[in-house]
Amino acid sequence: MAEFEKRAWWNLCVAVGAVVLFAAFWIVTRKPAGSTGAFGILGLSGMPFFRLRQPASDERDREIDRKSMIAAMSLFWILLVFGVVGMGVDLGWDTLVQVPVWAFSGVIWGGWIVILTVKSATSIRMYRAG
Amino acid sequence: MPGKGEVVRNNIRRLRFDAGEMTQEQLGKLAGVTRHTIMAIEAGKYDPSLLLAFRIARAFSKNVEDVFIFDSKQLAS
Repeated sequence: MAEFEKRAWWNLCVAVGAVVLFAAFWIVTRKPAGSTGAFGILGLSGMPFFRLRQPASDERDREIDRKSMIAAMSLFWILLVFGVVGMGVDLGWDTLVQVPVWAFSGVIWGGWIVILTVKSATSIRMYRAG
Repeated sequence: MPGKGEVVRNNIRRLRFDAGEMTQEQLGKLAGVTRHTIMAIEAGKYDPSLLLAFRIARAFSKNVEDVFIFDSKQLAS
């Protein structure tokens, strides 16, 4: 398995792990605010960058990285636009809403999870396809 | 990237064999890419850049046309 494919698997596991941990904490503690702490494990996605000897990337690795990033950012952008427009249309553009801080921060974490998941999954699929 | 009806084939496997069973790892080192990229090119799953194609050809002391063959049904018709 190519080094950067291993990295993609690692990131996918971190993203899925964060969601699973968040859900588990929420179910056990019944406190969603405190459960958002589970998203802290997303920091593990930076672990491979701390390796002393970084693997060299070639043109195929860079192409897969570029294409998977485009896929991730495209989906994130679509979700962002639909989310923003959907809220405005559904609730009314001048409506004042009260949102708990954990939900607001959860949306930001969620955005990062979407990017990480789609980028990793797309990379893995492309490495598998050749 | 090849279009519809276009395909880039290659003779890398045979050329490696002719070069004393050169391994994919060895060819990768000569061309400056990983073994996985050579594997993908050899299997026809990845089309290399022009620069990489030249590097691979040079590793075998061949011309690019001896290593890579461009098949196009569109051009033939």
